Amino acid sequence: MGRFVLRRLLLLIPTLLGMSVVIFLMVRLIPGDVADTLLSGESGSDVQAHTALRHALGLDDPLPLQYVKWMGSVVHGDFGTSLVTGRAVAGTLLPALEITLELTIIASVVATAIAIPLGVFAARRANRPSDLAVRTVTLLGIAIPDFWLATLLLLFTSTVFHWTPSVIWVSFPEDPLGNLSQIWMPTAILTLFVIASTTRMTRTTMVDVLSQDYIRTARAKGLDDRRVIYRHALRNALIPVMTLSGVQVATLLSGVTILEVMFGLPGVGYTLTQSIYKRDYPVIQDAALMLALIVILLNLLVDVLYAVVDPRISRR
Amino acid sequence: MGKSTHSDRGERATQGTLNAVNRRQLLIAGGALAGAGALAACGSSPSAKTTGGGSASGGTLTWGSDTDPTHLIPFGANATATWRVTSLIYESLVAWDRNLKVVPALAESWDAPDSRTFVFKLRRDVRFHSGKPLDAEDVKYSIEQQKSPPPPGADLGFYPPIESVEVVDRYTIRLRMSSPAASTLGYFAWNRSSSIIPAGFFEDNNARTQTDGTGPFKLSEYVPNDHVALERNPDYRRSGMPKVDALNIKILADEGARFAALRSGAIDGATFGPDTAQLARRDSDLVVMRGLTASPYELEVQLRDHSTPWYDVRVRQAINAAIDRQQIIDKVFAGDAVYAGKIAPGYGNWPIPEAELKSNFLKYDPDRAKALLAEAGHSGGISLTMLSIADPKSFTQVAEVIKDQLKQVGIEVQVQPLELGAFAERNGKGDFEWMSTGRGMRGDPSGFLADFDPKGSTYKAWYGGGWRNDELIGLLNDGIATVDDAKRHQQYRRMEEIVLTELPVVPLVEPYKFQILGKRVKGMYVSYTDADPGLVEATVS
Repeated sequence: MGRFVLRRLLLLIPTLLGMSVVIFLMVRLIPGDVADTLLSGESGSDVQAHTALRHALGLDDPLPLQYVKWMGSVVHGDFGTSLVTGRAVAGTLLPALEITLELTIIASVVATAIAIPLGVFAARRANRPSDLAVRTVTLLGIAIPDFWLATLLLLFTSTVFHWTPSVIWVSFPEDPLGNLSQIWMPTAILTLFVIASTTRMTRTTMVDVLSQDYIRTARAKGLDDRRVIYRHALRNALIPVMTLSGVQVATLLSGVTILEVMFGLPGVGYTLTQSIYKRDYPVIQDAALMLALIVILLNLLVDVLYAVVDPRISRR
Repeated sequence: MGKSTHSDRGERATQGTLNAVNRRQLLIAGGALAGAGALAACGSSPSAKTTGGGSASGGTLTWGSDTDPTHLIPFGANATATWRVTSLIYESLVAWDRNLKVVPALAESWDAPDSRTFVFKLRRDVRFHSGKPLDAEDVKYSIEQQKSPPPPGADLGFYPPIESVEVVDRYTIRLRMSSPAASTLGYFAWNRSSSIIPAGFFEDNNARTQTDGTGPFKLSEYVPNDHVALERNPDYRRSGMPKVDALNIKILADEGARFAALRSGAIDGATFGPDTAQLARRDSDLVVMRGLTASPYELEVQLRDHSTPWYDVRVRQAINAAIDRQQIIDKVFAGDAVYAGKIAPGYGNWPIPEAELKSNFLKYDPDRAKALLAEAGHSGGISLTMLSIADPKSFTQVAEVIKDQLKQVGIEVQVQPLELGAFAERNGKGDFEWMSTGRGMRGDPSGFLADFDPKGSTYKAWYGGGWRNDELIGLLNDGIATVDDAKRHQQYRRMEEIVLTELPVVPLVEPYKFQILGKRVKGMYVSYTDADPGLVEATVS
């Protein structure tokens, strides 16, 4: 098990290096650079000012040198300096990461806690009205776009209750209640989305597992129903569900980006979109790399959990 | 964080004490003063919340903004969103009143002994937010920095031909110009590239995140992509201003979310598009304000290339006659826009009046358009590509309406929306055929015509080696050197006529700007400058 995790962790290095090259090149493929966006003074700054600015910001260095400089700053842990704000990128992204992680972790935990029992419930009543109700509602949850739901929720609470989340960001340690009142709406929307897909997946695999021979055998042995469901059936049904969760992290992160913009929460996704508009290369690169790292780490976590749920995997 | 010293915090505590209205508060404030060091450490002033100086109403106003200011550099790298914040923190020698009349600001008076000299007398009672008193050395330093601002700033092309800045005495400054420049006062009044900062500011501070101005508000906190917190400058030169104790500017990019926050009272007001304004008019808890702001829409034409059909002026005139501006106004702006000439509508009494634009220069006449095209030998039709800014959508919507209109006279338009950064690059290089874009505020009427000056970089990018008009160039040079107001009006009138006939650019319309307020805000107004100076005079109940 330890070797399995270690090997996967070592594999992280080449994966991230590959990612970094792709990110670095993609960012530079977008037309225009930060000098264009900073100096789009309407009467037009002169060409010299443009060239001087590009030089001052190191944008006229050859690409390999720019890449090496960036990697150097990542290794040193300061992640470079924003071309626009002049702040260390780490100082901008770490507080942003707290917000994004808070939203996604709460959403994932709450959603899983609701979705798995709900999926089991539906599977045990397969094709009965209660199952149909769960399937219909969760189908809606997948089909409704999150930005649409967010707009409607905001319009609803502001019209009916004259309430929307307060706008100036407060972190959880500063003011726990204020923080929760700010994030419950976007978190709830995210949660709904995760509940919908996880419930459907749990239900499908549970229905499948429940028809297997070993479940019949377990029942025939006279095991009580709880034990059959949670010890024998669910453990086996969970593996595809976990695979789905790993894949879903990427979807979840793009959903959280939209919700951060809608609710004005200065998280990683919001910071990333703003930096793209401004062509703030170091911030885009670091934010994208950070998101890539999160996706990779969570998928690694899923693989480790496979091994816990199904011991055969680590033995292989 | 704003640059703030112990001495200025101490002063603020004193100020709060003096304005306290009853004995008990005096005693409490006195106690607080004894612990001024502790107060400074907390970084907040409780007394300011309840008292406030002069006729100030106190309270906190939260204003919504669609774009993050990104940084707070006083000049040289300022996007409009930056300037909307810095114009509340920094000031210049003179300012504009609501009608764009130049009024005293940091200079209490000024004089032009000859056409190449300006003398400014500074007020003696002004202090920077750091507590340092303002003197002529600060002004000299500021104006010299404005000429070539340190990176990431650069001269944006508005700097007047100032040859030297001389300190006459502690409160007198003399500018010598290399050529007569009637645009100088407007340059300072605009305060976009001309803010006054303390001497050594750029060397002593990170100008992107630290501020030290003389303006109505001082910075207390800037959290990127979230909000800017400003607090009342108790030493502000206009007594009783600003009226609120604190001003928060909250960044909410999504218009729907911004409107929801306004309805719930989470923000007190913000700028919105015409569609939201229609919605808000039905809500009795909201106040919708409408005003012109310098934001004309126009079509830029690339005229370097002699081989294009529109290098022939008749084709440009045909396109101009084939555009029905009223339809643009109705379809894209729900009726809330006016015809625009080259000098933005509402810019004092400089622009050609709308009635004349409608009946003459910008008249919709598709038959004339067809005749002109035939005359130019293009009755078989032509095709062109029009770039547009993708966000805000209105630039692309305008281009789409024009595409339909030009089709009626046999011109095929392909609209290509570009995201702003990509657009800025093509714009700067002159890499386009036609462009649907918008322009902004200028310090002086000459600024609206600067594109046609062969010395400028815009001319080189868009027209270089191609279109030029010698009468216009002569007038540009005369106009900037003329001091006599009536004569200047004649000159700019003639320049606008030339542009509207030669059409090196096709001006379209100027939409109204909408700001929507919650009921607790009073005294706010829509400013023509596109910044929000009304926030200084606004009160909350």
